Amino acid sequence: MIKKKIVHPTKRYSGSEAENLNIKLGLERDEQLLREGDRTIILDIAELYKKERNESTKYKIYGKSKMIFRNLYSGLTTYNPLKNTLYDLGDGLDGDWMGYLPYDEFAFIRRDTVREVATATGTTIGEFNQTITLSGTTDHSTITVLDSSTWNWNYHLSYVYSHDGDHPMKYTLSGGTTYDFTASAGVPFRVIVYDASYQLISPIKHNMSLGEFIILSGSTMTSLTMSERVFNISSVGDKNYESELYVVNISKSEFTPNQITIMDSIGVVFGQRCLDRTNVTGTTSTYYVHKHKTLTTVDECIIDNAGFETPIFEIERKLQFETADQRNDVYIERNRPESVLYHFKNALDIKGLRNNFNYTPTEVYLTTTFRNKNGYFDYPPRNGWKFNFHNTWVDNHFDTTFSGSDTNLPFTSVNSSGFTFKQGDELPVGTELDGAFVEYNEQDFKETILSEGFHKISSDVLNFNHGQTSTSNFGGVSQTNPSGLIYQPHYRIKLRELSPYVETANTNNIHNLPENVMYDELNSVWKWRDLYDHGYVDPDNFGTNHPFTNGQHYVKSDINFLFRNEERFLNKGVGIKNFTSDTDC
Amino acid sequence: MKLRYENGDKKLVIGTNQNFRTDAGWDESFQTYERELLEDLINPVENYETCRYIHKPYTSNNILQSDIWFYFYFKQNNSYTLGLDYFRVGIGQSDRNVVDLKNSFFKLEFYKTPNNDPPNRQNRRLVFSKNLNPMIGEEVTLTSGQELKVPVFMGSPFKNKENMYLFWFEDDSVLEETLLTGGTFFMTAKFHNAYNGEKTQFTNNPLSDISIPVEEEDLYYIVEMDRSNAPTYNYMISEYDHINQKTGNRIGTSTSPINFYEMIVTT
Repeated sequence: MIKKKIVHPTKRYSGSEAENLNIKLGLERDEQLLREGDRTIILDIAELYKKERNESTKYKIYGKSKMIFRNLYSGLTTYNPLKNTLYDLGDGLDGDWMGYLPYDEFAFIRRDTVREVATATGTTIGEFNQTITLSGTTDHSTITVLDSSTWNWNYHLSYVYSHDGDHPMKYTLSGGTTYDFTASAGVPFRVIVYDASYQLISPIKHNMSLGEFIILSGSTMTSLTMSERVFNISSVGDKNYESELYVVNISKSEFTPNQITIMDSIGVVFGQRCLDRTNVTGTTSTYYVHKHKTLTTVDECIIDNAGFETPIFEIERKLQFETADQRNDVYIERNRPESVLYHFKNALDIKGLRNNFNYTPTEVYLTTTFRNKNGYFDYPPRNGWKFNFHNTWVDNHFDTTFSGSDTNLPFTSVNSSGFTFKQGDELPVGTELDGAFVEYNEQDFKETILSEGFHKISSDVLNFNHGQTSTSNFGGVSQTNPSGLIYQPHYRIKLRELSPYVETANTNNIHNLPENVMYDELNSVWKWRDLYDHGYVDPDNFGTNHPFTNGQHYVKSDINFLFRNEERFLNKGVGIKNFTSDTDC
Repeated sequence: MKLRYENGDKKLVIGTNQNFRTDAGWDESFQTYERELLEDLINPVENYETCRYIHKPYTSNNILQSDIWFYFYFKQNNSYTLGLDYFRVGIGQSDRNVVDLKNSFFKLEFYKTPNNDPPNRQNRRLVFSKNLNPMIGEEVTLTSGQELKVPVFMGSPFKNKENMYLFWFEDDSVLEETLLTGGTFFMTAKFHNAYNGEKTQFTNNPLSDISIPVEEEDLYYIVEMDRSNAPTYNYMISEYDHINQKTGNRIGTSTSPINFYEMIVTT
């Protein structure tokens, strides 16, 4: 717009006279009407498809879930409905009713349902006399076909909405020595003392490298100032393959005599990764636990058999010659490898969701929780991480008196025949669950998953006793801390991909910066990772290419659902097999 | 704007800084128009996904279930007695003839009508159909020990699922401006006979040979789909009162199956 100033004629110059002013107002304008050809649009269906695809925030999640499990705990029960259905070790003639829980107690889709069964007879052709009877047992509970896929396990979608560095944790050594810490303390390390160095061995990948620094804490070490506890990592690893992922070596020359005294007897320390000892605050990793929130109800997920597919493992089954209630030739299964389809009926719209860094999440999780509707297991499940599982002893982290392992899943107690059964309730949308143990470093500008979260379930010893509280079977177990079964509840499903590289900019124009931007005070720049377009996969395989139709992305994610026996699974120690064993501690 | 006649001079005062901006909004409007036009013209985003509907759960024998039952009666000598028998339409079940049974099928046809008016051949439109193969039908064991397939079908989530599930849009907004929106359908049945190549219509009630069927009254059951997610997408089949255009008693359950009767009219 042209700025014009009107000056009164008497003010134009000294002695100027008053006179009438005329201003011609032209109504003409500079702009021209649109002419044909000004707006030539090339109709490009590929371009429009790409635009719609990248603007869509709706995701349809589906896939297969395969149960990888072997039912290995055999025990006894005095609860008759369960006793009558056990997969007995013997044939029933010996009166020994020790056996395995029937596989239906672990199945994604139960088969021991109560349903109508029809038989028809006729005396002549065309006659159809139908008799409908009920099939299945109702001794303990009445499970209908409609309940069969939600009775044991429930599927939800969840996302990480927050994180918690103050989450209390425990780490227990074989003798029962327990170390209490919070997630923010960092990675637990067992300390091996050598003449000239300390070897720190972590039960999880420590994500530290040669040339970086480690800030140690634990016991009286914590009382020192932070700058006194920063040590140079002199090397990583030892003679074993991939040991660099688990082992950190620090020269004793880094330590003061007082610190050496502490370290020689400390047993376990906690380490935080630090990139620059001259800027500890800005370059030290933070450690925390993911906090999940569920996004769907139980009914929003359809579980069904995956066609004719079954995993490669054999079905372990038999005809029990005689059961405890004296039925003969009863078919019973100890293991039935399952492959099921899960399918969330409604598309998930991530618009408006914010993750723990306050931007639209690029991944959601398939959250599978043990429902325990029959109530044979203690409830709720306990929560822990990889460093809480040991080959021959139980970690005190899982003690039912410790709040840090309580999943707080809702349940209802039911009493029957003098027994108490804790039946899990449905999780409403918005239920909070603990997730992975994570490291985040501002300089790397990314999260590193150090350990996924795990749930542990244990049979109530009064309902089914397989020696889960006997220390002769497994070290450290007790009435409040029995051994049990382990599963990973949250499986990551990638919706979009952030670039592996970090973009930086020094600008005051913050309006156009992406939502995942953060200000790096150390370098005085804005940092972010580019959000890759759907359909773009870079040479390093970063990117997403989910089918897009019906205005939504179809995200398929197949999962091997590992359901492990805590006592028998012997590959849960540090690193890979034969690398080292934490039984030495 | 009007100027009224009055005595005296008239003055039209125009603000010196007036900008009429006759172009205001043009660009934005045009961009919006352009975008909308493009989205309409090329590849409009519409959801054509279909999903699974189960038979609406009901309680029978104190068990919540969704089993569905169909009975198809064939007619002979103007009677439906002992009509649950394929031999009435020429299909034997000896090893040599069982191929005729394998290749025959019942076809359930699902129609829609404008405003859910009572259906007839003028206003109905076939939207989907479903085949029931005799080989996944029920069996009867005769006193002689012989086992025969009968035109009775059961479907449940446990067994013969394909007899029970229906597939339809979860979001039928793609059908707007057509007569196909809404979850109400009219279902009738035909039998395709591989033995003689004939196609037979079925009615919803037993008619005598001399009765003239009234299409709206005698051919259809009403099917209503429910997308309210309780517990999942489901449908319910009922008798149809074409006069009052209302649903009648629910059918399809184990105690009240869906009965279809072969239509033979002798004029």
